[in-house]
Amino acid sequence: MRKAIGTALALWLVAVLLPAESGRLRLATTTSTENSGLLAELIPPFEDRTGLKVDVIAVGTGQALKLGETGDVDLVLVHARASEDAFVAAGHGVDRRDVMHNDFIILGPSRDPAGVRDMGNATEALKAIANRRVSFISRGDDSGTHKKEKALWKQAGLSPKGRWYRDVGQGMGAVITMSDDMQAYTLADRGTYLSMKSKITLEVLVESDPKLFNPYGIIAVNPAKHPHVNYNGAMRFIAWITSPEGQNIISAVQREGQVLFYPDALK
Amino acid sequence: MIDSLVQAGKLLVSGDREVYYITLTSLKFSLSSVTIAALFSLPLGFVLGFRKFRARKLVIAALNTLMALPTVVVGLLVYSFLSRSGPLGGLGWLFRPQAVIVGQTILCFPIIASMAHSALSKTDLRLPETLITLGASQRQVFWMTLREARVAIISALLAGFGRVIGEVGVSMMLGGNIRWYTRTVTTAIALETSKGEFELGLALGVILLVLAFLVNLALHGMVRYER
Amino acid sequence: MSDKNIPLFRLRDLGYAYGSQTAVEISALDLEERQIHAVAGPNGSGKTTLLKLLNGLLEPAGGEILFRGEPLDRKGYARIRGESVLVHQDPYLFDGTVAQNLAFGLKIRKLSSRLIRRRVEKKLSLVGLPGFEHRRARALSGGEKQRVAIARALVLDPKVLLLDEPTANVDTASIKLLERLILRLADAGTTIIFSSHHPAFAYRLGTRLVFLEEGTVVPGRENIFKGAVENTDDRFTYFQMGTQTLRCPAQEGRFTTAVLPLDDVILSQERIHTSAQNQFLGRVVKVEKANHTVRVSLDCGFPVQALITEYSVDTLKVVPGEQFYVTFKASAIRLY
Repeated sequence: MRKAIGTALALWLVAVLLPAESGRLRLATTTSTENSGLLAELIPPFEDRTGLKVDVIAVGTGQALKLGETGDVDLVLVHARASEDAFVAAGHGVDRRDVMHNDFIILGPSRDPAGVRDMGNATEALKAIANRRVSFISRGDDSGTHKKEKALWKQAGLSPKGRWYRDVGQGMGAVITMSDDMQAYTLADRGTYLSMKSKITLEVLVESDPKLFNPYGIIAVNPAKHPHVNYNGAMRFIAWITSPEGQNIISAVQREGQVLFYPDALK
Repeated sequence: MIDSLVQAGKLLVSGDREVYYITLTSLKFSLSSVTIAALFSLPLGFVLGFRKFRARKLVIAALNTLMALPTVVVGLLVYSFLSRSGPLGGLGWLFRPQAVIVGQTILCFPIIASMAHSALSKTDLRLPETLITLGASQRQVFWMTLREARVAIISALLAGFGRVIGEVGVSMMLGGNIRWYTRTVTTAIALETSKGEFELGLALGVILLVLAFLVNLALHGMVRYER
Repeated sequence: MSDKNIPLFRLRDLGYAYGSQTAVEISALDLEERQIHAVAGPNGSGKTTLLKLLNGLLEPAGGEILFRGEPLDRKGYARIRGESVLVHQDPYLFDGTVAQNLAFGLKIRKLSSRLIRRRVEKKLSLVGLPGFEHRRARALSGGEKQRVAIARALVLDPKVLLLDEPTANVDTASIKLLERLILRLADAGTTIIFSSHHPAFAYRLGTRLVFLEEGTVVPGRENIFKGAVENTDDRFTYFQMGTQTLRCPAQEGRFTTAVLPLDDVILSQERIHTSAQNQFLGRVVKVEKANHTVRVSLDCGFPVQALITEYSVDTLKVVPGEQFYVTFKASAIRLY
C-alpha cells in the first residue's frame, strides 16, 4: 500500500516538474493592456497559425521592461515611450515598432471642486487641482499611467506634495474605485475607465488633449544579449500585430460601445 | 458579503472552465510543494528531535526566522536565482510551474520542519528506544515514530499547505500569473482586485477557503481510516 | 585466545550527562558473561542510564565501553543489536496483540511466519503467559505487560538481557515468576543485567552486585553469600555454603542469599569466646586501604571481607598470608 502511494507520488512529481518547454513565446506587458481584453483577441489566431503558445505576463511597466532586460521574456509591449527608447538605446531590445495608441483621461467628482471640466488641457487642469489642494490619487507604481502622470506634473512645472496628493501604489481598477469612494481626481486610461463606468459616479472631466496621448510600442528582446530568447517567435508576433489583419483586430476591440485602441503600425 | 458567497456558489456550479483550471493549478502547485518540502523537512524534524549535535539550536533558530519571511521576499530571492541573468537561469524554470513549486517549497519547508520537530520531540522516548533495542534500522525507527506522531505530523503538513495555498507573492513573482498556465486562485484574486472587481475577488477567495477546508478534511479522514 | 578471559563488558572512564547534570561517571567496571549482574542503588543513581549505555541506546560523553573486547561505538552498535536487548522499566508495547508485539523483532529479521508463530508460543509459555497471543497488549495488567515485554526480547534469543527495574510496577506473584524466569535464563547461559532499588531482589538474584551512588560505582559494604537453608530449629536457621554453615536468626523461608555487613566482621589473632555464634579460621588474601578504613579480604573456605581501622591493621599486623579468626553474630546476617 505504502509503496503504491510512494510510486504514485514520485510519478506525479516527475510529471509536474519535468516537462520540457517547447514552442512558447513569453510576452511581458502591462496590466491595463491585459485587462483591456485586447490580447485575448489578438493571441488565439496567432497561436492557431503558428502553433506557438503565448505566455502573457502582465505586470507594471517598470517590471515588464525589467523582465526584458534580464532576458526572462522574449517580447515587451508597453506604453511608456521614453522608457522604451531608453530600453532600446541600452541594447536590451531591438526592432521596436509602434502598435497602437489610446488616450488617458482625467476623472473627477461630478461637482468638480477644482473647476477643470472641459478645460481640454491636462496641465492646466493639474495646476488647478494642485492650487485648490483637492484630493488626487496617483498610481504610484511606475506603470505607464503613472509615468504619464509624472510627465504631466513636470510639464505643469509642479511637484505635487501634501495630504491631498495620495500615492497609493495600486492597480488602475483599485485606484479608480478608491477615487470614486473618496470623490477624488485621478488620471486613468480610457479602457479601464470604460470597463468600470457603470459602477462609479466619477466623470470624464478632461480629455482630448494631445498631451494625454498614450502610444504603445512592441519591442523584441535583443538576441545578441540573450541568445536563448525566442527571437524568431518574437519577430513573428511583431509581424502579426503590425499586419493589416492584426491592426484590424485591434481597432475592433470595443467597450461600452467605444473603441479602445487606435492602430498606428501602418501609418 | 452575501453577494460574494452567492457569486462563489454560482461560479462553482456554473462549471466555468477557467475557475476549475485555476483551482486545480493552485492545488497542483501547493500539493507538490508540500510533498517535496515534507521529503526534506520530516527527516530534518526527526534529526532535530532525537539527535544531539552542536548546530542544533542554530538550525532551529534559522527555521523560526525563515517562517517570518514575507512571500514576496522569498519570491524575489528565488527570482534572482532563476532569472536568465541569474546563476540558475539555464534551467529555464521561470514563469513555469517549476519556479512556483520551488518558491512554495521554500515557503512551507520551515513550518513543516519546525512543527514536525515539535511533534516528534513530544513522542514517548521509549518508542524509538524499544524499536532500536529490538533491532529496527534507522529508517524503520523513523517511519514508525512518524506513524506514532502522525496526528501532529498531519497538522504540520496542513500548516505548510495553508501557508502556500493562500500565498500570492511567490506565485505572482515566479509564475507570472499566465492565463491557462500558471494562474492560480490567489493570483487571479490579485488580478481581479487590481481591476476593481472586488466581489469576484471575494468569490474566488471563498472558493479558496472551500478548497483548503476539503483538503483538511481529506487528510484527517486518511488518518482515521488508518486506525 | 580464549574468550573466557575477556569480560563481556569493560567500562573505562565512562561518563554521561543530561544537560549539565552528570548522570554516570564510572572509572572502571567489568561485567562477566553468564552472570546475573544486579545494579543496585537509590533512585537517580544512574542505573537506567548505565543500562542504556550498555545497550547502545545512549552515546557516552566520555570514556569507552568494550563489548567482548571491541569498542562499542556507532559502528559497534550493530554487533550489540544481535546479542542484547533491553526491557524498559515501564515497557512500551505496540498497539496490537501480544503476538504482534513479539513478532516485531522477528519480522524485521525476516523470519518465516511459521517460525515466528512457534517462537512466540514457546516464549509466551516461558514467561507464564501461554495462550495470550491474541490478547490486546495494552489491555494487560502491569505484571503481564512486563512479561510480554520480556518475551518480546526473548524471542530474539539474546545472549544478554538487560532489565530496568523489572519489579517496579509488578505484583508479588509476578515477582516470583520473574525470579524463576531469570534463574532459568541464567542457567541456560544468558547474561542478565538488571537494575533495582529494592535490595532484596538484587541480593536474591544477583550473582554479582554493582552498587551505584550518584552515578559512580561504590564498593559494596556487605558480604553476600550464596547457598541454601540446610535446617531450621527454634534457635537458628542454618545456612550452608559449600562445606561451611552459617548460623542465622531463626526464620522460615527458602533463602538463597545471606548478607553480612563488612562492619560486623571481627578479626582476632586468637579464638575468642563471645556471644557471637559464627567463628571461622581464615587466611588474609588482600588488604586494601581507603579513607582511614581498611578492607580485608579473607578465605575461610568461602570468601569474606571485613572493614577495620588502620590502627587495628597495624596493631594486629594484618598482612596477606596471615591467619585470623573471623567472628560475627548470627543477628548480623540478613537472609533473602
